[in-house]
Amino acid sequence: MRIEDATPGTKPRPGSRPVLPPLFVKGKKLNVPIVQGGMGVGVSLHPLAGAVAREGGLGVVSSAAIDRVVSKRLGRKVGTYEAVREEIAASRSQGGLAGINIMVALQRDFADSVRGAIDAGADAIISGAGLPTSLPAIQAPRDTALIPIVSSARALEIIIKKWEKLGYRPDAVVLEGPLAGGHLGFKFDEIGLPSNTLEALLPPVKDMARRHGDFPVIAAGGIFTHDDIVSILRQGADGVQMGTRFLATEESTADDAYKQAVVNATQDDIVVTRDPGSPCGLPFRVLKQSPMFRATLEGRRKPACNKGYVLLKDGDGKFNRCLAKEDGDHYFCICNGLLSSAGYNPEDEEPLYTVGSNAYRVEGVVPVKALMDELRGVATSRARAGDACFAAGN
Amino acid sequence: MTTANVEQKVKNIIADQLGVGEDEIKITSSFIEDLGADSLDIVELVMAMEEEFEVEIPDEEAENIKTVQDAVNYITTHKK
Repeated sequence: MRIEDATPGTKPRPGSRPVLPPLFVKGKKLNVPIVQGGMGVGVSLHPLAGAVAREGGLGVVSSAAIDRVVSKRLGRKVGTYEAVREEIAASRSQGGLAGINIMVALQRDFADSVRGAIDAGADAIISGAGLPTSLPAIQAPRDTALIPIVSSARALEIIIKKWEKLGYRPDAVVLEGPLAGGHLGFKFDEIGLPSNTLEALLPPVKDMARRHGDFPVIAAGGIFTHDDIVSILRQGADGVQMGTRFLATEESTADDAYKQAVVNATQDDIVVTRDPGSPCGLPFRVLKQSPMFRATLEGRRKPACNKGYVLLKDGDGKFNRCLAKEDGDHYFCICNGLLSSAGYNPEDEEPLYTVGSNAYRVEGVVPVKALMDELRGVATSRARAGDACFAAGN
Repeated sequence: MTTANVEQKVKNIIADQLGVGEDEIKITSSFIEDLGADSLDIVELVMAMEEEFEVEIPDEEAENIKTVQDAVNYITTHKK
């Protein structure tokens, strides 16, 4: 879609900022083509997703450890299915569109999360950290858009072929480049290759999407400002997904220490780590000063590993094994580390902070509305400079 | 199709998908450790074998196919 320089039919004002076009997913209109990236554990829950939805973006809760998180909120024990339904309903209760990010790596709870989301009428299921090859087979998705996350046209082609056998086509795709936070879909040594920049990955993914029903491509990883959004849309993306900016909002439920660590971070503090690494086996971007990362690096991490969300099957086919439990010197525990970073069970293990590569540019914690206004390009720099909530400089 | 035929075809598919010489592929070779396959390679290999031999390999079965021998065994057992 072409980006207009002003409302159609009016003359652009000198210096006015381009208006972002809407994004249509499965026939539903997002007024602002911004998907708030799912951030687990416990960072993107209904307070954040609901606020983004109200502002016209797609709010996204994270399914990671959602049973524990919602049980704490409700004061009674709920399972994954019910917890997902609760969070989706709460996220959509004040209008707008909201969905859920369900990581393939969370095998044990994957199907329950998908069923809960579809039954709650989630507007989208966004699924990565592995190939969601069986996603459409779990339950008929009805009005829920199924959106895989990929880091290459090759991965998208595999998903399209697998889904074709199930009679389904992606409703959109998130293309996540190497500058994103969390788990990265690249081999460690290939993260910095010129052929792996978001800009280089976009054209073949867009082409693949065009040839299979022309579904929207949502670009992610390192997008930080309104101008970044305009630039990637001009290169062919239909929307963007952004995580770190939404991490540093008042509505995100990251622990205050986590938000402060992001605000204080310098460029040198942000590293992609492999050893010690995530038990999911994918490169993972962290803040070096994360207490759990430091403890693991210094060989003083005592694995509690008492949550078990990232389990692999043992010889008997039971979800029973986790590398973080078996080898605490080389793997950090993303269950306890991330739960702890959102203030859950900090007594079990120290927090682990994951961020996108531009996190060092975050200068303050702002309300979602202010962030969305800035990203849409409707907040002027002058207004921002005068707004105590905003740090100037974007 | 004889087991030897299946093995030869599996080796052809692997050589083609992974870009390795057929002489490097032994019946005991592990896709990841010996032949340098990554997770996407494995999925593509399984898809190529499904197509060539007209068998269905469910994801949970595919997880257990780690070597050339595993693939040959699965195909000879499940091929109609």
